[in-house]
Order: sequence, then C-alpha cells, then structure tokens
Amino acid sequence: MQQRRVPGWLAGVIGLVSLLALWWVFALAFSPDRGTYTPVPSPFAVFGQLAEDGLGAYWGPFEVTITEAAYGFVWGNSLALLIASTVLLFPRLEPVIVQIAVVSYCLPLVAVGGIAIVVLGGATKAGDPSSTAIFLAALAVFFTTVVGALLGFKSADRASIDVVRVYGGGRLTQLRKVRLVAALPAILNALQIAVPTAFLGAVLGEYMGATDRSVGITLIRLQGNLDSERVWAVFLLCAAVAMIGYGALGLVSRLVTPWVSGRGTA
Amino acid sequence: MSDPSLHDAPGVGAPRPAGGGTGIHVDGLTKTFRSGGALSRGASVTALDDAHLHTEQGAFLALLGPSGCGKSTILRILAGLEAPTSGTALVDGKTPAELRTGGELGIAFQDHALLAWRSVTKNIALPFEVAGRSVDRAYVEELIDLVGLRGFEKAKPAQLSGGMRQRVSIARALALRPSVLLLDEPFGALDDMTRQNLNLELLRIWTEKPATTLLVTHGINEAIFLSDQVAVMSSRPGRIKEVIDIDLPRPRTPEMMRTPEFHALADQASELLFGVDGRAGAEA
Repeated sequence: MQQRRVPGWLAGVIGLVSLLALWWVFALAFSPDRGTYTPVPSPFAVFGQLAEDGLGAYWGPFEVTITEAAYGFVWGNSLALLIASTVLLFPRLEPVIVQIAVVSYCLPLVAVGGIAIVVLGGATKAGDPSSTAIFLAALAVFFTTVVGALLGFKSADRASIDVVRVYGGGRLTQLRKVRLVAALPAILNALQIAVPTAFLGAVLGEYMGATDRSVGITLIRLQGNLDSERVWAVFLLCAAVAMIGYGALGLVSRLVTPWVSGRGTA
Repeated sequence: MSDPSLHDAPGVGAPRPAGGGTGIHVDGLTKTFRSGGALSRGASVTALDDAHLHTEQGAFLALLGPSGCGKSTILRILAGLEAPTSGTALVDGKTPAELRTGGELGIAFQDHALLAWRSVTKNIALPFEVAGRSVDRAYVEELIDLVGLRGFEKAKPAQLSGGMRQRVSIARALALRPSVLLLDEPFGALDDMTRQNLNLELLRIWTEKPATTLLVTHGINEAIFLSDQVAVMSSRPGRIKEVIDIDLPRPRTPEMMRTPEFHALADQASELLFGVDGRAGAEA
C-alpha cells in the first residue's frame, strides 16, 4: 500500500526540466521563417543573454519594482487585516467586508491604474517608486488577504472556545488564547499568496507610465526594440523574484506556526 | 414533578427542598431552541422537557440516551454554556455562573479541544491561565503521571494518538481541582478497545480525584460500569425516562461486567431505551 513519494527536490528538478523542455519546443514551433525577430527565443538564447549582461544590469529596474511591491504589500495587507479584524468585534459586519473585498477584486486594474496615474501620479524622479504602482500592488493583495483573514478568524475550534468559557474566559481571553493563534496559519497563507500578486500589481502600475526606471518600463522599451531575449530574461527574473518572496514567507510561516502539519516541502 | 418515580429511589437521589448542599440538583429544566432563520417565525424545537435530576455530592451520574435526547444540553447548561429556557440547575448548591467564577468546573468533550500549538504540559496548564491563577506546576506534573503521559510532556496534540489526546483532555479537566466534573462523551470517538481501557483509567482517576461527576454517553455498559446512577433519556422531546440506581459495589473491576447483576442492569437500561420488543423507538 505504501507508495513512495517523490522527494521535494526531485519534484522541483523534474518540474524545472520539463518546463524548459516545453519552452524549447515552443521556441522551435514559433521560430519565424524570415527575419531576425524571434517572439519566443530558445532557453539557451535567453540564458546566454542573461549571462552576457550579468544580473547587475537588471538590478536597477528591479530595485525600484521590488520597493514598490514591498510598499504595496505592507499597505494592502495592513489595511486588509485591519478591516478583516473588525469582525472580531462586530461579527455582523462580515458580509459587508466581504462585499468590499469582492468589489476591490472585480475592479479592472487597468482602468483603476489609468485613474490612479492621474490622481496619484507616478515616480517623482528617476529611481523613485511610482505611487500608482504601489497603489495597484496594494489593491491586488487586498482581496486574498481579507478572505484569508476572515477564514482564519473563523477557524478556531468551537469546543476549544467552550473550554476557555467554562474556565471563566471572556471574549478577550478567547481571542488571545485561541482565536488569534488559530487564525495565524490562514493569514500567513494569504500573505504568502500576496507576495507574487503584489509584484504583479507593481509591474502593472508601471505599465501606466510615469516611471523612468522600473521593470514595467523596461519591458515596454525592450519590446519596442524587438529585443525578445532580454524581454524573456526579465520575465524569468520576475518569476525568480516572486518565487523567492513566496518561499521566504513560506519559511516564516513554518517558523511561526510549526504545529500546522502537511505544509508542502518546497 | 410529572414523574414521581424519579424520586422514590432509595438512598441516593431523594429530593431536597431549595437545593441544599446536594450534588447535581436539576429541577424542571427545559430548553427550547428556535430552529431555522428569522423567517421561520418562532418554530421551536424542545431539546429538553422538564428534566429533574438529584444526586449526592461526589456521586457519579451518567446520562444515557440516543442522539438528540438533550443529554448534552443538560451538561452544557450545568457548564454555563447554555441558558435554560426554564427551570433551575445547581451543583453543590451553586449556579453554573458561581461554579465558573470559583473555578470549580472541569470539562472534557468528545472532541479533545486541545490547542494544537501547545504542548501537553501547556494544554493542561491552560485552565490556570484562563482563570488568571498562577500555574501549579507540581500539580500539572502530577496530572501527567495520573493520566499516564510521562514522556510526552513536550509533545504537540498532532503527535499523539486519539486516546492520548483524550487523556490530556481529562487531565486538563482536572487541572483546577474541580469539585464538579462534566464529561461529554469523552471517549465517544475512540475505538472500542481504547475506549474500554480509558473507562478503566477514568474510574481509577475519579477514585483518586473525587468530584461530583456528570457523564454524557450513549454506551450502556460504560454508563453502568462507571456510575452510581444512570438517567435514561428519550428523545423528541428530550425527557428523562427513569433513573436507575447502580448498586454494584465499589471499587469496580472489569470482572463485574460479566456478573448477572450487571447484565440485569444492562437489560433494564436497554429495555428503557429500546422498548420491550428491542426496537429503537427513539431513533429518527
């Protein structure tokens, strides 16, 4: 009966190799008959370009975008947690809060970005984070964190709360001893998902313009130059940044909530 | 006082006026729940109808009945987790609220209700923290020995078996040296062998740390084996049919479960539960 599970590192290697193989097949399938522009360059071409340029060449724009994503992450999640935690005091507010969160999720980011660039503006000078990008990053993480936190606040075991009540614990004690700790895994999960989302939101904000140095504007320029190798190199680095952030938060979750079993080993 | 047969049991269970210093003192206890949402306009379910129970201080009473007979409701009212619609519930002459503030209650549920992030020791110490007392470490250690969990003090609930979790849950119930112990099917979710084993343990623990005890169960044999009195209940609406006095001598041993006296009591209880023809009239 006992089926041997594939170890985590091996699963990672297999996944990575098959992803690269798939990419390569795509690159071959879409290679043009004429001209020099290749919309999907092969993995070798992209990694070759990355090696030639060096990671340092890409750090400039990424530094700005990561800063924006971080600001947006903090703002969006703080606000989401603050709003979600009002259900602890007023449980009847929950449907209203969910509604606000859903509306925030349904807003087309591109339209909101267009308004934000007018109202908030972009970067004030080159290398500054763009306010619009921060705003969109914050907006992008808001929904998942609200939902995750609401789920967390409800996940406390009913009987555990009863036990606390029988020993004379009031609402505050129930909150302190049971409900807040029980909410941690769901909240940390939501925060983990928010890392790549915040980064995506920031890049989207940069597409609205008004920045001189950022991942978004770099992509626009490279696409204009038909420099597909570098475009794909930026794609790869974006994925790497998102994954590092995601992994880091996963590590934090494991340290903070070691009692949660069955968390994947990645 | 609809059923006077409850009160003419000899010895234990004689009613006393105005809840003196007796053990469990439940009088005319009724609980109705409003079912459905606000739209169902006052449709209500009677979970418990005019229940009367009287035991001596330090006695072990079991509530035996099918699911939905209101046995857990009685326990939850005594624990102060629910308010009765009418009637009184006192233990040792005190209301649930008084018992609670005095830290005199101990409770264990079918669901172990342990906090997943706390070790065995810290789970047992929880009642002290909640009640705002300093943790009596020596006593917590004693309880760990009592329930046979030496060597697992630092383990988290996820690392324990179902039976061990219930042991922790029992130890936690005893932490504040309660004078009243409320057990809501504490071993109901365990397999039969573990359950029998833990019932023996419970008997030993209860002998070492005596308390006025209410056990809610649907196991006929365990109810008789453990208790001084067994209140047999029926459902829809939840009623106490009869209180059987268990006159088996203490200390009880597993061998007693094979005596004719024990079988006679078990037969009496199942007849009350299922009727003479052996069909479960109460089962929905």
